[in-house]
Amino acid sequence: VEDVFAIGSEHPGAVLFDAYKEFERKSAKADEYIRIIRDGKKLGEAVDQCIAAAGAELEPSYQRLLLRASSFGKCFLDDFDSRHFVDMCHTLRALNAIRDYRIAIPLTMVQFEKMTLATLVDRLILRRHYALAMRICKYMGLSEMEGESRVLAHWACYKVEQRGIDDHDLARQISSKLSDARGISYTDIAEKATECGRRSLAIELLNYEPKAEKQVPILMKMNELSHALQKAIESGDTELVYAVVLRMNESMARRDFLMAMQQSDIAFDLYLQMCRAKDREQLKNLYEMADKKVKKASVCVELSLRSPKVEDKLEELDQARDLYSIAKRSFEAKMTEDEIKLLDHQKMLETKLGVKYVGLSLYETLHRLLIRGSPFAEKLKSQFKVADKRYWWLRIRALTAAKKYNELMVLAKSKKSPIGCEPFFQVVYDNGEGDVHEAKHFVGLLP
Amino acid sequence: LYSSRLQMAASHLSSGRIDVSRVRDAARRHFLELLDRCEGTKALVWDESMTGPFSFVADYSVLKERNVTKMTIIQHNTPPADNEQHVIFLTRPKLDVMERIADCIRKEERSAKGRDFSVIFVPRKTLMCDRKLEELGVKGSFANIFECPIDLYPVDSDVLSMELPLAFRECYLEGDFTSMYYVARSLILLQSLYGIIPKIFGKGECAKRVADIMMRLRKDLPKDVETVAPEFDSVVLLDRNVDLLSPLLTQLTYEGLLDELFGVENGRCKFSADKFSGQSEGGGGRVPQQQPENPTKTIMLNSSDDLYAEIRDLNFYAVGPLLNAKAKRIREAFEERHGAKTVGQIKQFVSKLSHIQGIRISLSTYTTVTALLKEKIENSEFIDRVSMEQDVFRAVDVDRIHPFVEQLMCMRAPLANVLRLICAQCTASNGFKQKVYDFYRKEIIQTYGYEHLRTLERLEEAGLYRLQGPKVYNTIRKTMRLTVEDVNEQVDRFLPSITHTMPN
Repeated sequence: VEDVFAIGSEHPGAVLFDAYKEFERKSAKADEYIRIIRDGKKLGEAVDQCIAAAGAELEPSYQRLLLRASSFGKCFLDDFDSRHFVDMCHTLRALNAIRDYRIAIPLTMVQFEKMTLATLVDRLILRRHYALAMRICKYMGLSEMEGESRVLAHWACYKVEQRGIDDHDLARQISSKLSDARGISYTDIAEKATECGRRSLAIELLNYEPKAEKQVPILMKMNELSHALQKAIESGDTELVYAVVLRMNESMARRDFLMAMQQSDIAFDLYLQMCRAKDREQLKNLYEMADKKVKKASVCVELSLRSPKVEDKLEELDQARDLYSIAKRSFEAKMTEDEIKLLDHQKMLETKLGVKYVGLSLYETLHRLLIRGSPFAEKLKSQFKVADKRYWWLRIRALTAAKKYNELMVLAKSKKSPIGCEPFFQVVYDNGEGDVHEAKHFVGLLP
Repeated sequence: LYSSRLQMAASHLSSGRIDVSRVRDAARRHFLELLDRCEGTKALVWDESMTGPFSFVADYSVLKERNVTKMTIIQHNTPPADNEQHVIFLTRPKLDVMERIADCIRKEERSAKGRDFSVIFVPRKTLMCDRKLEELGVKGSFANIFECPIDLYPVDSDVLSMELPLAFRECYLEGDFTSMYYVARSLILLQSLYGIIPKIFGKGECAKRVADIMMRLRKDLPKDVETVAPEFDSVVLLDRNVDLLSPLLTQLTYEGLLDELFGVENGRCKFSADKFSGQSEGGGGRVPQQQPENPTKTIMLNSSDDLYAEIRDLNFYAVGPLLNAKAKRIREAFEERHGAKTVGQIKQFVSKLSHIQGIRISLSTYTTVTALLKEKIENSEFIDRVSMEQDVFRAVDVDRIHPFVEQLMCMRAPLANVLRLICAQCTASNGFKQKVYDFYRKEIIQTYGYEHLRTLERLEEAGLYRLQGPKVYNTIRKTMRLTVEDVNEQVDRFLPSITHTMPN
């Protein structure tokens, strides 16, 4: 400033300033002054100096003069970068605003630059000049994250501490102000509300929080478990649902927990998954409770398949069969009953023949019995009422597998086959390379 | 083919390719960043299901640069490392894998080699796994527990896969919609790389879920994404159960048949090496797999090979003649060397030579593959089955199938084939009459075992096997023009209804 205003100063800035004054007076001397600077190639410097001086000035009227002077000088420069000028204008505007007696922060330019804009905004926030802070942020082009959103967040927290307004209204007020801004953590505001003891406000605010992974933990902390569950389900993020379910499992009484699970299909299914991974007996209880007999039966079936010991298998199957009967699923009940009978037979066969039979299908059991030529096959056939056609297929396949082609031929020629002669050929042919020539024998039988 | 739960299409893919390498680069960055946070020489121990997908992200040479000196699969008896200082497990969040990892760590700790352990969960660690590790008492042994949020793997220039083969089962049978969350996340990834997608179409319950989750997640994207000009102008979300018939039918395109008969996984197919004469193995060292007694040749199947790109979607029967024609042309081109007299001509020929050689090798490979495929399909079982499928989708004389299926079961055909045909028939006739329904059920259980009581229950839950509803298939077939009669080809074609549901 000194450089510019000092009497008799020879600095380019001073000359420019004078030039401007003359210009204002519409005097030709303006031109003279300009030429002086220009010839000395100091016009750029002059403009810069004026701008700097403007920045240093505290009095708006002088600021304006200096800026106009620099603007004047600018006209004569070809390639002047206006950004500097524009920035200075912006900054001055902001500084003038805060120097106003109502805010009363007499900052000099140097202090401002050291302090940075962000800190200034912080100071304004601390003093609760939220509106001004907002406008400055916007005006100075601070990014939303650093600027407006932060201000709004602080404003909201402040509002929360105020007792005057009722929870619901306040929530609405806050959300309407904040709805456009991004990156606001409603969770923080809600936490503040909780601290102030305003629970219902906190819950309402949390409704606005877009990030479910923030919402849910706070709700859990506040022990609002059913809310938390609802939000978790809405988010579609199963991890959150698991988290809430686990928490509910641990903190709620058994009965209440199970009732809560039944309220929501999704939660219930996930809980089922958890149980399936850990404890299937528990799974059975759950289904019993939910009166889902068929599903409970399914679990019994699965348990029976996994048990290595036949006694355990049979126990589960008994349960399953009874459940199916009660649920009027006669097909499943019959199949289960058949399996029980089959397992009994298979156990006996294992003991008798020393070969594994348990767990095989009915036809596979028959197949192996037929390969051995065991008479038990017929018994099994009649007990399970296996259709004749099927039985013949089984006989053909078994004889082929055992490579007892003579017997097979006898069977084929007996003309008692309910399935004709083609299967004889087909089975032998498909049995493998070594049997193709055998198949030729059967070709002659075909019509 | 690929195990994506939903398919994605952008309506301008025909006019230009999206650069999917961006997806790969993003994935790679995540992964390598985590690797770098582990100190010392590293041994990577993989969950088997991840080795395939990760080959699209980073291959061995990249890993070597990051000080990875050994790679193995998580198994009970194999020690994970030799002298490496840091053992890193990489896995999906599966509970049974947690047990194997714990086993491994306990063994290592007993041998007291003073190693560090870390685990990387892809795409994220779940609460259940975390607890499991705690229960098993090994959670404290880890120096790091990382999450690597990779949802999409670039399989080819126009296919991104999530490699979640169990997604259908989880959603439809277990009520676990976690995979839908991952789908939404992957859409967000795409939008952060390629711009916000303005239009969203979809059909199906899962599609709706994904859309809802995605819209929620989208609010969190940084604002500058909105300024990026979108490269996709729409996304179409389709539930698998919009069209359950297509995956049940046997695929008859070249690549489809390869998948049916040999299995295409992660864009690769394995054959026994002795069928391929005198060709060098491509693709460098991956996780040690086969013992030397059964040498296998692995072929990469993607559009980088021009010849393959040409034949992969053709009906199989058209490929043979095409390969022959090409072979002839190559031979003619090669013979040109006799005609090259001047230096200029010779030069020209030589410059074409490497190109010709390249095609020759491709031709030789695919001719062998074609022959292998032919071997497998030229039997009555296959031919009859495909013919039955034709009956199914032509909605013609559906009663012929019943005795055929019965016979299949009498011959004890593989259960998968039987079930596919039955379910295809069921889907096309929108359910079975009580008699047929009961008959199949009983036969399946008695032939293949009691455990299939559960199998049938699950099929029913998934909507693939049920009692009759109104018969609509034929109407749909005609209005949507799902079948094409073609006199020249030996089989009628069934066009998946997905291609018809696309908006214009």
